[in-house]
Amino acid sequence: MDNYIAIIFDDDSKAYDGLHALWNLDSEGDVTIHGAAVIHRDKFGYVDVATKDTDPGVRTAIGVGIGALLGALAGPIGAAAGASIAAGTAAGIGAAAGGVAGLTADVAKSGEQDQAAFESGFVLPRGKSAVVAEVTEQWTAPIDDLASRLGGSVFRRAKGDVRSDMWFDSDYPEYLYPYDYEPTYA
Amino acid sequence: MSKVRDAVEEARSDAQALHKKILGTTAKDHAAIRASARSVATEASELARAIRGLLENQQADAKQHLKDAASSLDAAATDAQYLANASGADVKARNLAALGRVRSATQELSQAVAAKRASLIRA
Repeated sequence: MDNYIAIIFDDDSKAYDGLHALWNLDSEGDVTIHGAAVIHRDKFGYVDVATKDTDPGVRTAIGVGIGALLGALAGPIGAAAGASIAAGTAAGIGAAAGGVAGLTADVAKSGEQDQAAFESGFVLPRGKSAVVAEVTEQWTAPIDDLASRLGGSVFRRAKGDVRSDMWFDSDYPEYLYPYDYEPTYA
Repeated sequence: MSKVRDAVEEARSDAQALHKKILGTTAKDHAAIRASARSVATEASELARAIRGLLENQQADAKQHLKDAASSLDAAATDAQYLANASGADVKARNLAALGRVRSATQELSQAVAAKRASLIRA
């Protein structure tokens, strides 16, 4: 199965451990990781990616794509939750959209990105960190066990479903590193 | 599943290393990028050639991913050769283009690795 996953952790440190553990599963042949990154959502709803690079051109792409993937991972969960709390969410949508833009507020202004950012809140709550990844897994147990061992929780959605999601951004791979790295926040 | 590391995995590892190398130049000045470009072009071309040498014994799904990876690496080599003599904004643009192509190659190789691992499980 080709899936996108997000493993949610309480803090950056655990997410870093999760990233390395995920790539270790790849090294052992238990799963195949095609790309992964550590992200964090701060108390204001802003999402940032822990990169190994500080080039502004690279980070622009990072800021746009991450909200789209999180929104796509939320999928029906985000939509259902959004419907149940429809009143009073407008401020939250605005805050989240700004957060997704991160370093590049000028590029996060379409309705699609607002919606993706809104839904992303259901995957990655404020104050939490996560490992997001594109993986091929023959069974879900290795990643589920990893998450359980490190105190994380897993969101998982089939790659085909994510890519057909109306909110998905085709620029997604720009922020997923195709190998393990030491994450830093610029 | 036991640990398996074959020629396809080695190729993926080489592509990952090449991606790291290019990424490491993105925040540097034009002179540093140009200085690195020739070796990037050579490494990308050699890796593409090595990958094509692996095609014969691969199953159809892995073979297509390997072909696509080799094509991306050839394109990256072309970008790197061009930027070795480029100037101005073209330097950064071509470097990012090469980075993107090597990323694509790495992901194609990763898909080939996944296909091979799946075939081992089925066997």
